[in-house]
Amino acid sequence: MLVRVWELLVNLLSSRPGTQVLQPVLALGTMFVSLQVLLYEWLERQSGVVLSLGTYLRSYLFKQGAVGFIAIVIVAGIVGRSAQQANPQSWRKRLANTLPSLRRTAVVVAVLAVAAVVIGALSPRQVQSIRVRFFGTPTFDKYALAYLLYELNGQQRSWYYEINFDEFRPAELTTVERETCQRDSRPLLCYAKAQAAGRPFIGITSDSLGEDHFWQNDGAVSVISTDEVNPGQSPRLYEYLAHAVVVNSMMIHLNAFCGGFPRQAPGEQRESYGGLFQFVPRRQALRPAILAAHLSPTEEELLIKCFGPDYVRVASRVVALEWLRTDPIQSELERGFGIKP
Amino acid sequence: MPHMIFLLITHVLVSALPHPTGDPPFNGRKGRKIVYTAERHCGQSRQIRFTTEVEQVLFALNSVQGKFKVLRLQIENGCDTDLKLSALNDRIDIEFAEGDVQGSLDLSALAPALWDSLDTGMRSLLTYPAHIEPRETESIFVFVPVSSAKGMPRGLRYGVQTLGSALELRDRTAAAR
Repeated sequence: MLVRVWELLVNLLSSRPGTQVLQPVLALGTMFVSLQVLLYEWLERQSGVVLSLGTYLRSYLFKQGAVGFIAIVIVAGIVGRSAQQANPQSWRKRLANTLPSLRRTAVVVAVLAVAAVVIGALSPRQVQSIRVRFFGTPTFDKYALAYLLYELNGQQRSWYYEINFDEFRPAELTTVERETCQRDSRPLLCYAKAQAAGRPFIGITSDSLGEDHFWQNDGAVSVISTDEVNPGQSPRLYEYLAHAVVVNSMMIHLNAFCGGFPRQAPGEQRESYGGLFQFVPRRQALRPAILAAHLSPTEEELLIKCFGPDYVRVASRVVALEWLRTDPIQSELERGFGIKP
Repeated sequence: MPHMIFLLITHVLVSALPHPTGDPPFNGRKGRKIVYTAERHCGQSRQIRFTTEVEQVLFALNSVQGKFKVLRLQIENGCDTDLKLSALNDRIDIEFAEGDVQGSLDLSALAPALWDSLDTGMRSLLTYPAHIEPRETESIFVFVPVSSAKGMPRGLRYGVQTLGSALELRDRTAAAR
């Protein structure tokens, strides 16, 4: 059917006088659409996420495809013209044409170089590894958590959790840092910032965070607390920790490398759809959010725009915590650390 | 056959000779470290072992900014429970020929300016730990004012509040020298 329509269109354009000027435009348009369809399918396959047309049109890949296509069209135009002129000529004429052909080569190189720079600038950001340290002596088994973080490291290749097993003590800080943090309303976050030294960092503690229940985040630094978690309830402590670490890692990456995660309007929030970066209106509301954790279309779009399809594929897999609930990991937790499912 | 018997006898005799391995005290080796040790038992065949090694020449020459001598005390917790430590409540004294000198376990309190000049990693290493986990080994660093550290230490007296009486770290090879 589509072939028939195409044939009719081609016949129409070739038979009618004056429509021949539309032929190259139509050809280019068709090629452009075909290229974008291929790129869309590749992106969908890589990320495992079905993207809306609007999301794709705003994505880095659409823009990269457009820039690459324009560059190729320009280069093809220049090369095509020079090929037309490359008929048998006398050596005098060829010599006279040397200068323009050098100029054309320079233009081709310049166009390709500019396209390469623009495509590079549009590429997803590279994220850094995140350092993890325990603040004070945790009430949970820090080696069991380390095992889970190493399992997470095994899920992807571009960045890692680096764990420092030496528990942080405020005495490590300089005199000024210690005094500043003692005055701070969020001292643990202040310690974490001092430890981070500008690099992504997560502090994990069993102590209370004061007015905040589960975690605190500022830029590339987070502190996660287990103080409010009831280990007898589902999700269990290690599920909570895995969820908190994964969500905070995404927030840190978005803050540090992509202009920040979407914050809500200031003020008290009463409603929630269980979004990863949403304010939790009640303490107990985090439990269903963890049990049904997933990336919303908005979050997928944001992450794909910032970090590319591979990041989104891994993020949507690890945030659902299915990997944690698999038999091999549950049995290793029980055998190695005495943590029963 | 006689060859075999000869080889066998030679092998037995060579095996009986002292091996040139290990560190016998009378081998004339230079730079021998003095090792001060103490143990505290915690149940059946389990113990916490405290060790400090001091090399005479380096101890005489080295200091931090010309102000403090540093001793590294290694604690090997062989017990099944945490060893709780406290920079406030624990205490260490170093015995010199001219008398005992109290060492500091907290450089940040002893020399804040020096402490602040150190990088994050070094401060983390030098901070007195809050506890030592079971079956783990940690190092603590003891700072002694240069003006008080005359000669080589004779021993150390380390008081850990949670262990009760103070530990006497002595050079166990001294009697054999």
